[in-house]
Amino acid sequence: MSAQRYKILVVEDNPSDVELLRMAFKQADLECDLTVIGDGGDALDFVRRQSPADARPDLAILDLNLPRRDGVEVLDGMRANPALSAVPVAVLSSSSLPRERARLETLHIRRYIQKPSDLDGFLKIGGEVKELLREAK
Amino acid sequence: MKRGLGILAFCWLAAWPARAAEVSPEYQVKAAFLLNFTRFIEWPRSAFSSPNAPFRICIAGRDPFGGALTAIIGGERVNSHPLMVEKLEGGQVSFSHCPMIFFPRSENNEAALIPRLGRGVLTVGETEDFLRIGGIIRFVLENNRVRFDVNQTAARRAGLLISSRLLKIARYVESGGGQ
Amino acid sequence: MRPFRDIPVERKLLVTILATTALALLLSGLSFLVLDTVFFRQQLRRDLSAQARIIAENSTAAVAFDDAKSAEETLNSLRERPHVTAACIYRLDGSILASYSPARQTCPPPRTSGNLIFLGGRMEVFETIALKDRPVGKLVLVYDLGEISERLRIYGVLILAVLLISGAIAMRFSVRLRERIVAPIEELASYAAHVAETRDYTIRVREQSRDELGVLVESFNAMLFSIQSRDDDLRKALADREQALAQAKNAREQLEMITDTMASAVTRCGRDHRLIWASRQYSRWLNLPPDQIVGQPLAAVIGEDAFAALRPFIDRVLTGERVEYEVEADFKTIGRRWVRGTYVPTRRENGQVDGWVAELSDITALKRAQADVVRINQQLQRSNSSLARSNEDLERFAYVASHDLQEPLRMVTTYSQLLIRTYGGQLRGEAAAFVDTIVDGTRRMQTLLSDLLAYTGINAESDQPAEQVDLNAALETAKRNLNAAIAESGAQVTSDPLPCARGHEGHFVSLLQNLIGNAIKYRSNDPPRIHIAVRRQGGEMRIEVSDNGIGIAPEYHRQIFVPFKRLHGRRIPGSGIGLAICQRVVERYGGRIWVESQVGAGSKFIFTLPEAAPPAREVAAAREGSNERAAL
Repeated sequence: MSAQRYKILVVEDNPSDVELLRMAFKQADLECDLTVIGDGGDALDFVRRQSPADARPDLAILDLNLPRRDGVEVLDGMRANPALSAVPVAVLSSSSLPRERARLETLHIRRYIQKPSDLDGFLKIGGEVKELLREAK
Repeated sequence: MKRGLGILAFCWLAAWPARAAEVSPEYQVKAAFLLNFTRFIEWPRSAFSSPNAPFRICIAGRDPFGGALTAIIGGERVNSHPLMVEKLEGGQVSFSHCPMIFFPRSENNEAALIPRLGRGVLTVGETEDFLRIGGIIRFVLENNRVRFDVNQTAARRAGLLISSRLLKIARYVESGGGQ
Repeated sequence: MRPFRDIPVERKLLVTILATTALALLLSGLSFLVLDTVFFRQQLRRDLSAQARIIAENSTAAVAFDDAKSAEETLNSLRERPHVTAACIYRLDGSILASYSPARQTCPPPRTSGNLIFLGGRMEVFETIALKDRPVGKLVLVYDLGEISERLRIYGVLILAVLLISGAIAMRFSVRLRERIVAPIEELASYAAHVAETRDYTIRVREQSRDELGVLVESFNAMLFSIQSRDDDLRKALADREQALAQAKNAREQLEMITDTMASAVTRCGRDHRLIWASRQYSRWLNLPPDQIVGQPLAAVIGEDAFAALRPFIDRVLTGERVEYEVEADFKTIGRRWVRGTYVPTRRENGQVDGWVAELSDITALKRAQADVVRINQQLQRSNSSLARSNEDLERFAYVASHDLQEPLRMVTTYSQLLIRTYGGQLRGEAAAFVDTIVDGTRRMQTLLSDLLAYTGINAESDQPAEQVDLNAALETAKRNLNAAIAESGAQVTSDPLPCARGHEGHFVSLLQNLIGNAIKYRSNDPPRIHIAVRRQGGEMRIEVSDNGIGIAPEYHRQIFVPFKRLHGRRIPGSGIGLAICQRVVERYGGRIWVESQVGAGSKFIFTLPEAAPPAREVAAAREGSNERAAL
């Protein structure tokens, strides 16, 4: 089970957060390959281009607040592409705005993770993601 | 007053001149008075038997007029009664047919006769107390003139109505209760 | 001597009466005398014959018995006849039996034929004295006819006396007549003169009788009455006219007074468009003397241009319509003006319109002011809406900023923690203290930002649908959130059963949490006792949160609700925005919040909420309304 390497698509424009995510996965002993896209537009292009022949990610972690195109558009793009439509999605957002949450509820995402404001909170995300991947299996 | 009598007598004599000389002027005047009395006295109807019965002037005794009376009354009437003179002889009791009786002074019989007389008889006398004994008219001589007194009481008793004009001429009128 | 018709009535009456009386007396006296002398002789003849017969009769007895004394007595009865001057009774032989001769007159001898003769001044009567139709004597009477002339004389004297007396009576009558006839006439005449002189028609002549004079007086009075009533009518008509004139003058003065005080000008025009009358205001307004207005054609007064502008209204008012207008026109004397006018048609008695009354106001200034107001209003609206927009932008900015600032702050926090965790052992002395300060600062800033977010979010999240919130549940949540503080301070939080309210549960949680948190935070030395009471009053719910804390001085009762106002500095932790959040929440749901407190006497925070929370639809509508307002 430990030999298993997960493929995770990370759409996140903040490299510090990406670094923190890597730190959290490492701490949770999660062996994974990250595909990181830091721009909404690029991300949308990516998800549209993905074909069933390509390796399908096991999980997509989306930030909603992205340059050019926001996370929801990227999500829509994934849902529209059959190659990615079954990929579980976790939304990672710093937004605590109720409006955003309400919108997310209609998107049928697997999990909403608010970016914690302290280090310990952030590191816990590793365990959470591991759990998600296990569930998705 | 002799002259008065004389004048009166003259009146009569002038009318009847033939008989005047025989009778005294006093009785001639008295005869005229007797006739004149009938003119001023009214007799009750009962004094006469009928309207034509004679009016008798009766002389009780001797006739002192000597025919003068007869001469004066001759042809005269009292109303409808012819005047007559009648002499009453002594002893004759009824005088009822005489409306007037003359009692001559000489006879002096009036006291006996007058009370016996009935109503409707005029009694004429000459004596002093003729009126006192019931006589009605009494001749008197006054200043040689013939005057008369009247007993009105007796006249009323006899039913005779004496004219006031005659009473006015009378010298004295005896009218009973001190009149 | 004056003719009869000119002498006074009084004299006329007197003369008439006297003449009539005298004539009547004279005529009657004369006729009486004539008749008397004629009849007196016959009468005397009959009389004397009768007397002679009576004496003859009465003397019958005396003659028959030749009683002279009695005969004389009978003759003496002639003493009653003073005019018998002699009487004798003769015997048949012609001698005298008795005689009567008061005048010592001798008897005439008896006549043989006739029994009565008039002889000179005497009359002799012969009568036979008879006894039973037989004559016994004769009676002779001599009568002195002087009696007749004596009678005439007596009659004359009598007539004279009667004349005098009747004259005197007539005089008296004339006096009475004067009183009865002349005096009333004179009185009437004096009254007539008095009336003619004084023109006093109120006097009346007293009526004294009911005869023709009374009729005259009555007629005079009636005449006076009719003159008086005519005079009164005339006076009344005059007085009415004067009063009407005075009223007209008064009305005119009042009209001028009113029109003078009126701000607007008043005119009256005829059908021919000529001005009949204009108020002073009008002449002042047009800057023209009145004599150049009244009687002039309107076009000449205000100018052809202005007249052309007003013409349509004039044509309309002359059809009998009331016209109100506002128009701008170029007046000859005063230039372009805005005029507000009211034209009211005037009518003759037959209803025909003969002109109009105009009430005119110069509204040029008003129009300008109106235009200014419109412009200013538009500006104001523009600036208002931009203000509202900028306010909203600012709020949104604050909201977004407080939100977005959290992101870099999170980085600072997280990485400073990472720094401590990774290199904590290698930091020494001051460096460690500096990093601690950074961490502490970031934490405080985090609190500040989250409070700010909460504060701005109350309104910013207005598009979230409201829901029915059970305040008991909200209180439980708040208490749970405050668990640590409650446990640490030993606070007791009690509550009446709370009602439901419409809104967002989070808002009510933060409202109650802030109030309870404050009560714990600002506690006195005693363990906090916090009670939440509910009252219903005047259609709203009143929720009171009382504590036994340190209390607040009255001068701060308002200040404490201002964001970031803190009374206690760093001694007591807090961002200073809690009560501002409370106020925002309460005001958002239509309530109020205030505090009742004294220092050392605890505090009571009171907020109200509408009793029956309005249905969601109305909340939405209210929100739309507020949006519209914001759009302005």
